[in-house]
Amino acid sequence: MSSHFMDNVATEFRITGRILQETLGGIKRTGWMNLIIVVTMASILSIFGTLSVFVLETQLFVENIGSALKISVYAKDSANVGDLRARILAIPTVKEVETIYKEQAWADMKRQYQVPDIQNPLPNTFHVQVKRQDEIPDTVERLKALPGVEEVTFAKSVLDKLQNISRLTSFIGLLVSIFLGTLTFFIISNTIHLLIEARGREIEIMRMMGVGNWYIRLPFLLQGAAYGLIGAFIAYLPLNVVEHYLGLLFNYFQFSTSNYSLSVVFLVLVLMGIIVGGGGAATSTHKYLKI
Amino acid sequence: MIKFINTTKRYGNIYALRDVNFEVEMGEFVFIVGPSGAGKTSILKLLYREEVATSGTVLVGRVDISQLKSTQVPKLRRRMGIVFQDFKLLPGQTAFDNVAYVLRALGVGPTETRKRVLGALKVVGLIDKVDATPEELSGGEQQRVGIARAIVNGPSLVIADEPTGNLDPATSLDIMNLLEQINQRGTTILISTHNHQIVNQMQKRVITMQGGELIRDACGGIYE
Repeated sequence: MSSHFMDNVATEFRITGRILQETLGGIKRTGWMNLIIVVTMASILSIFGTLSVFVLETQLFVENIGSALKISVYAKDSANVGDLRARILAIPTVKEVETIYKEQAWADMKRQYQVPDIQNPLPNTFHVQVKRQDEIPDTVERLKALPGVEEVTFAKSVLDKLQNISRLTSFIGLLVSIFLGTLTFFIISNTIHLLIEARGREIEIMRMMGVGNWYIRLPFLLQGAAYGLIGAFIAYLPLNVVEHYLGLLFNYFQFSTSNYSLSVVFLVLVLMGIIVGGGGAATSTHKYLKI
Repeated sequence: MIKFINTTKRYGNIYALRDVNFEVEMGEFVFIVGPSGAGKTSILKLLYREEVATSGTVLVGRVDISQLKSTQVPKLRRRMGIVFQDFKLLPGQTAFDNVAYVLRALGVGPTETRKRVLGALKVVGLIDKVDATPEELSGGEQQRVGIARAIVNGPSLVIADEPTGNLDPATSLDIMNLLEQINQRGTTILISTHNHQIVNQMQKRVITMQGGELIRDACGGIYE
């Protein structure tokens, strides 16, 4: 039994070797077209990658800015500051509350500006920071409902703008990526089509002699996937540059970039490359490879 | 070994085969003759499942191959050897590599491959031309390589579609004699041809087709 098993393993091993050999042969035969395909694939993936990094980082940026936005809560004169602070902190979406006593605010103001010597008109104020920016509207409503609150304000327009920018970049990014992905898909499926035509005789002989379908198909699929993989690795280089400059930009605003987004994007690129490359090849083998 | 039972193959309204019935026993040597479009090639294509019968049954061994799933077709073809009119050799590759090609694809080890390829090339009389490419071989020699490739896997059935169609009369006879030799080793041989001279000379079983119908099936037959 074991010798039979070993024979089978050896056979499978040799078949795998032959499939890889056929794949390399296919790549060799593609000649200078390889360069065109890999360059197109890499540029498309790097554009896609740059967009993805940009979208991810913008979202992070918006998130950072948004949650850094503070909600100002003005207390009624009659309200007990300690009580109110406790109630605000009891709201689950609230991360931090800074209390600014009206005496201190007035003193600061008097120090910075020339103000007439009148009675302190300022209310006791709380600067409330939320945990996540999308919780701001909800939190504002809850703050307004608290007893002893005179008024609640926050920079709504800034938040809205940031959210719009983030949405727009995501949308454009998606659109461009779909377009480029389709383009790559067709370039690859066409190349594989040409290869299938060029190898028509061999394929026919293999079919007639009873060579398995997968043995015939796999080299083409692997070749397509290889373009995706190589393209993704090449695209990773410009991606680092983009990430570096985005990092500098964000540092200027005193936000840190997320390193995780680059590795996520790289994984997505590899996956996308393989799917687009292998998928393009699969379409062609499905269409033109009569088995 | 082979059984056609009421087999019909239709393309739209055109009948390539109409209600064909015949049986071939293990080890037989059979010619299928008839003019172009008579249905010779259709019979062979149904046998190696390049086409599927519209109705009726095609048995190879005990298997009705019209019912075969497409994933099982390679297995069926591995039990046959197919010889083509245009040889279908890989250009630029030696006779050895042409014959070895499929064995390698099937994962046969190098020692075994060498043994079998040299064995097959010896049977077809090309042992001294193992390193020649198709471009360096004559038509007859190329067809011999094609036959070596067909028998290298030790099939019980060899199907040849007009194997002498591209060859001169003398070479054609050589090729037929070679196929007869292979037949004498126990391999069933099925040949489509419209070469009167050879068929009449060889005195084998002859199935005559016309307009998709089997009109005569005679042992030691002739091709009129």
